Amino acid sequence: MIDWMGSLQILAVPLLLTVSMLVLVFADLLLPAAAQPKGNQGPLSFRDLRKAQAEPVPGVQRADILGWIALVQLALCLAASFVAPQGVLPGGSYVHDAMAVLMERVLLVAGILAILGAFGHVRQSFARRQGEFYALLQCSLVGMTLLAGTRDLLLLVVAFELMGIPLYVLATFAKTDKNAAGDATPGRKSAEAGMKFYLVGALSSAITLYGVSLLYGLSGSTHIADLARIPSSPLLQVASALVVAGFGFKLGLAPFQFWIPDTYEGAPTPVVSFFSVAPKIAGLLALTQILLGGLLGHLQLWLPGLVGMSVVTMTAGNLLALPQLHLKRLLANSGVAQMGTMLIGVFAAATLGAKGHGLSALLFYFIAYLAANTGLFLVIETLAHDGSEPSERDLIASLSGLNRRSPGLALAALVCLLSLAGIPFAVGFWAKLYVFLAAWEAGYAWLVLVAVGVSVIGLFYYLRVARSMYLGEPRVTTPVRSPLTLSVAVTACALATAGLGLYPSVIVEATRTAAAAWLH
Amino acid sequence: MPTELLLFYALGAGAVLSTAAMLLPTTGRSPIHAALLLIVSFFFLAGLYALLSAHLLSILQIIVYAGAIMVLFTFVIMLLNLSPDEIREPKISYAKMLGGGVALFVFGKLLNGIGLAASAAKAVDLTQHDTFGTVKEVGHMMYSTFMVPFELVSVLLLVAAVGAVVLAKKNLAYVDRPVPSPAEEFKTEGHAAGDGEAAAGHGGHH
Amino acid sequence: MTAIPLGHILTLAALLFSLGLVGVLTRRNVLIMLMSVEVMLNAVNLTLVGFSRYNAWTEGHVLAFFIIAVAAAEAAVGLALVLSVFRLKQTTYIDDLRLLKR
Repeated sequence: MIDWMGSLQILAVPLLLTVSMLVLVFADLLLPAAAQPKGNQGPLSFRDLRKAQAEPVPGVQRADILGWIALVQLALCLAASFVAPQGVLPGGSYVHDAMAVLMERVLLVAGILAILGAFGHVRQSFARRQGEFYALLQCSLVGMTLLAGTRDLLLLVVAFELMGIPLYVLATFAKTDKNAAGDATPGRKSAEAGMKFYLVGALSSAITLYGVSLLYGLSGSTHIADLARIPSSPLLQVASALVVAGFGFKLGLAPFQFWIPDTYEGAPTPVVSFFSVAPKIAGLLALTQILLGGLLGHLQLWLPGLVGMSVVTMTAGNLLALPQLHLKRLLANSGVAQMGTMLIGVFAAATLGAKGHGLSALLFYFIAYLAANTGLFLVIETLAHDGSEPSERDLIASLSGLNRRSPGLALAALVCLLSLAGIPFAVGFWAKLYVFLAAWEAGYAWLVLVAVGVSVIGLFYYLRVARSMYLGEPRVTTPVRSPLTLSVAVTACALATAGLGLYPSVIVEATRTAAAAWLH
Repeated sequence: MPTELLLFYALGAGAVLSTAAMLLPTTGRSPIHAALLLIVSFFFLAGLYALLSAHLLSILQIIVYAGAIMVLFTFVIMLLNLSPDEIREPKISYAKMLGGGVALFVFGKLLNGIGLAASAAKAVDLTQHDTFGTVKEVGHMMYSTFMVPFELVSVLLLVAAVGAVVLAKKNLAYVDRPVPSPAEEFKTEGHAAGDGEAAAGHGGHH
Repeated sequence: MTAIPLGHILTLAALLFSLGLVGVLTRRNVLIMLMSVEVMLNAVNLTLVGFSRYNAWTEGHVLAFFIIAVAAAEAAVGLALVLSVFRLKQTTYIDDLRLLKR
């Protein structure tokens, strides 16, 4: 007899997220419009809605109540992650341990920041589609929170798809955007971004699934732990190569990273701030689970290839970011380089296992990357909101002289840039330090030197942006106006980056516990 | 040669040939021809599944893959309403040759892996286990061991439906007009009635 | 006892997978690219059915079932995307999607 109550409690966070999504969809259906024109009484019935869509009814608008509902729901799920019991789902396919708990919270915080950052953009561009926007975001979070705790190949595959498919739709959401001149180019860019993202995602799914099917055929069970029983063979090597390649597409590892700058440029910025961080974290976690949980005994099959990919990724990401003048593309390429650095933590964990600190360093890096990257993208969103010159939007030039206009915003951006560059004492410095220390202990000294070398390249473009902010001439000298929610989100990211940079031990303990729970 | 093996070769050849025909830019140039060739290929695959005792899967292949997914493809091709001169001539380029090379490399690696591990494998005798691959057995496993992924797939299908509607809906411009913040709404409330008629006349053109 | 060696089935699946990969990497029409991805997913299903037959494992069939469902969801979203791109740019060829510079 299955223990239903126990299972539901273990699955509390993903379950609550799914229920939230359904509640949101129903709220979208049933809530009355916020402001009614004179003469229109009460909520819109279906008949009125159809009429409204056939001919636009003036004055019928929707406040961003759905966004607030979504925010409250995510906050509730975050609270639930503190009370949900730890345990193993009957059948062993999902384990809610310290690692799953930590990652759930990280991913939910990413979702909360994205929603905070999206309020203004949604109100301006997708007012009537906001229900779907928030619902899709929550669905993607369901997939991600399940990926954090999965131990089963089938659940991994389904959760991976559930994570990815809403993101393709979200990337295309701005397809009706028009320039100030009435030109539909931003909309076309968003559609292109979504299309390229989708094609890469579909190809990645197919390749990963083929690798998973071969792994299943070799082991006979869908549990990841049972993969360790497979004897070494050429077929196992092909299967693991396929899995790594499939994940590599999604995570943006070289040589599969060419789609990332295009997608980040075209998609709406709040969405980019979400999917530049959260799916990468969840995806790398899932890949680490397969590699460390199942294929640890066959290091020689995948470790050399992955190390090579990491080196190429770091180098290519930094080199391609160097000449970029477009902020979003610059951050896209820098994100690729950061992903390459994160892999180093995986290598350290693979070689030393529970005796080293590779895994906890990786988790700390996730948190540092989340805070800094989201902060920077939300700063870009703030500037876009302010009505900066359309020709300059999203370029480094739009940041020029930001310090004169809004010192607070410039300081927030500076803190995030320092963190990404790895300069003391923002949190990114500690993240890189921990990863490099773990790798040095595991015997990857040469890799650490290479990583430090390419990080120096990173300094050039990060500091170029900072210099433009502080020493450049602003086009206008009015302060930057932004919605309150967006300012709150940017401040939260900057405070986290600075605060954790000064007191990293708070999070380090949590990552150590999580890593120990995983690597028992 | 045993009948089964013969059938396997026939069905396999059918699947490969129709897939290859779909990909060749001569026979498969027009999307609708490619879609129909793919449906044929799916039928051959369904036959292969039946040959391999995967009864439920062979029927699902026909009902879902050939009968729903490909019908969706065909609908979209119809909606796009491409004229024959919008379909382009194929061009050979270095990128395409590189792509072909990559696929050939992958195939070589796969053959290398498969050949050694699997050609000597002997199949399990299924005469005792005659419910293998039936609806009952697959269903039993799905609803007991794989309950969580099953429910998750239902959420996935909901997401796909919502996403598809959001993406494919037309004429969103008039509904996506910027919504003023509540403060601005209350300020302009007095003008709403007067602007109403003007905006109504304007909005009908979108 | 079936007379088809497992290697034959896996080779056929590998061939279909590679054909699908050629299609995705080579063809420029987005619809054909989507169809090629479907071919690749079918190759995955064939591999699973082959392994399941040879060891009488039923999880393989369940995994193939879920892959069909996932493929359906992806195809629906992908086709809606093709439709919306077509409405904006009047093209289904990926060569024409060039607004985002490399």
